[in-house]
Amino acid sequence: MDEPLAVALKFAFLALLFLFVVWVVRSSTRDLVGDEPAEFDPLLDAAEGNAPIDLKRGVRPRLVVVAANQYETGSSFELLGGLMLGRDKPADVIVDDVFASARHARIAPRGPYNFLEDLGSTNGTYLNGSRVDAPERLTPGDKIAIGDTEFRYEE
Amino acid sequence: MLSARNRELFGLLPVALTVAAGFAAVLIAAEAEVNDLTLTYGLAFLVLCLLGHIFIRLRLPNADPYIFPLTALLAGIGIVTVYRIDPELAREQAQWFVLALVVFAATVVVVRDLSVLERYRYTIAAGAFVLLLLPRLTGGIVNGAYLQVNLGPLSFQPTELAKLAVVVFVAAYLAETREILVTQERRFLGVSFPPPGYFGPMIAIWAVAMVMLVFIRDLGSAVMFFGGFLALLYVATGRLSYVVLGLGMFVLGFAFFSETVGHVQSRVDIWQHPLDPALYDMAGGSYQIAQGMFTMSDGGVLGSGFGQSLLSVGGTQILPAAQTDSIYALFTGETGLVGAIGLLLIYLLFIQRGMKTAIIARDAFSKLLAVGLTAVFALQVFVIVGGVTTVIPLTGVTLPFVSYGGSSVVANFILVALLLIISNKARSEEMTGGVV
Repeated sequence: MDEPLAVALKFAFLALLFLFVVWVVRSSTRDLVGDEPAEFDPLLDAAEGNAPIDLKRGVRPRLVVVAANQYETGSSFELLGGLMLGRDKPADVIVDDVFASARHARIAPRGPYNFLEDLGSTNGTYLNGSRVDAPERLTPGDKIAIGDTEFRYEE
Repeated sequence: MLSARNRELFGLLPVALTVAAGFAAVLIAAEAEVNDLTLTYGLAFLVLCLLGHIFIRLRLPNADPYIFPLTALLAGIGIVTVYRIDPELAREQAQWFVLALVVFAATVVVVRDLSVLERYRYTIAAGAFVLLLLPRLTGGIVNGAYLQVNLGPLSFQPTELAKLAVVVFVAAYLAETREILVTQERRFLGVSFPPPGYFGPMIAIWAVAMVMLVFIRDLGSAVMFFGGFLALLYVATGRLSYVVLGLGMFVLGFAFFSETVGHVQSRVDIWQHPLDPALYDMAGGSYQIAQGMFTMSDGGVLGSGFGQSLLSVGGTQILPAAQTDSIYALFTGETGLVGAIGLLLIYLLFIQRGMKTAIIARDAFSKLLAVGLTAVFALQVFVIVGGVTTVIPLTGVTLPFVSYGGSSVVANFILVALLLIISNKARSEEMTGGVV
């Protein structure tokens, strides 16, 4: 280790290595903070009387079976980042119902809430008795019906 | 704020500088002149990075901006360290990187939609099994394990590819059955068990791990595979009891086979007493681990400098497998504790980005695939770094992107391609804000 330039280069290497690490950490944390979806305004929601829920904090959103041919009543599906309901395979929840389309409806989180969306089904998806046209926000106790099959949303 | 792709491009700048500093230090230490040929190495590396970046810009515009620079830095550190050992090997490694980038691009083009992987899951699983058994049939033994397949002049280590295939299969299988595993679980003595009909595939995965242990004699890969499987099972079902159950099965199998299979037993002895003179002198003994420990301690806090670690005495190499298994020891010797921590931080950040990708992925298969790929990657780093530093028995797996070895580089670039595909899809959906 008698070459000063070699020593300098080694330190340059180490310094750059850590500089890069610091850059990735700082830049990616900003990414985490900055990417909050803009379309949800928690204050507005609170004003409407709906306390915002945080899906990440101890809340277990799930879909409870109320009436279905395929599943036992009372069994439930965890909503791990979203589920598709439909009559056949790619669907996560198989709805064995003559009124169900192959890809019928979908539940997916947007920001801190879960939303129910009809995927252009033939016979429609019903949330608490009314037909779902645009994605609708789910609150605990909501009833989701496809034909004669019914689920309850819980958190 | 910079867009994702511009951030990626910006991130490649410190990567290029770091690699350049490393190369220059190695060259000065080797007292080689910084001539045209050596400069082309640095330039070629930069050009490869830029080509990769441009490809991602075109095909995966919204993918995670940090994964590729992190990969490039690891690859750069690898090629500098390999170059320091043997310039000829570094030239070969550079060729492998070119091939790996081509495979990376091909993966992105072919697997445009991840459902392709989901659909062919059983074919992929069968492929993995064949890949794992190939070396035993055509076999080359490397360090007492059947790891290598020789096809004429080419040789490759199929476990690297099989690792990806197993993750794809398990992710697809669990994406399909996770609800059933949870909703139809059986409780016995207060512990949840999976429904009996679904035990089969789990036993099969366990059997694969055991087969690897006994027939292929590769403890490292067995830990990697089974660990990745348990991570997936936990994420898919949220049942800690399944993980404990699986871990118990693995430990039982390991305990049984370590008694009966000599290879495993000697590895454990070596790990417990690496500095025992008898084991040190024994053929296939602890020589490699002990030499690695000496190299690392020689580095101290700040390292002895590039090209300064004692690698050979009088023409005989004293650090065995310096370019593969022991590359972590050599890097630590030359850049010290500080360099080693830096390297591990890079791996941790890579793993963090992988998990972040899994978190934002919307559908179950993408989520599980991202978790599984990240888990096997993390376990691979743990198995080899833990092995060299005697946290666990040493088994020969490569240090991803850093170790010399074509199959490893190619397989890990496929892994990066899959992660970027998932990330691109998830981040695109997030941006449109829609339920797509």
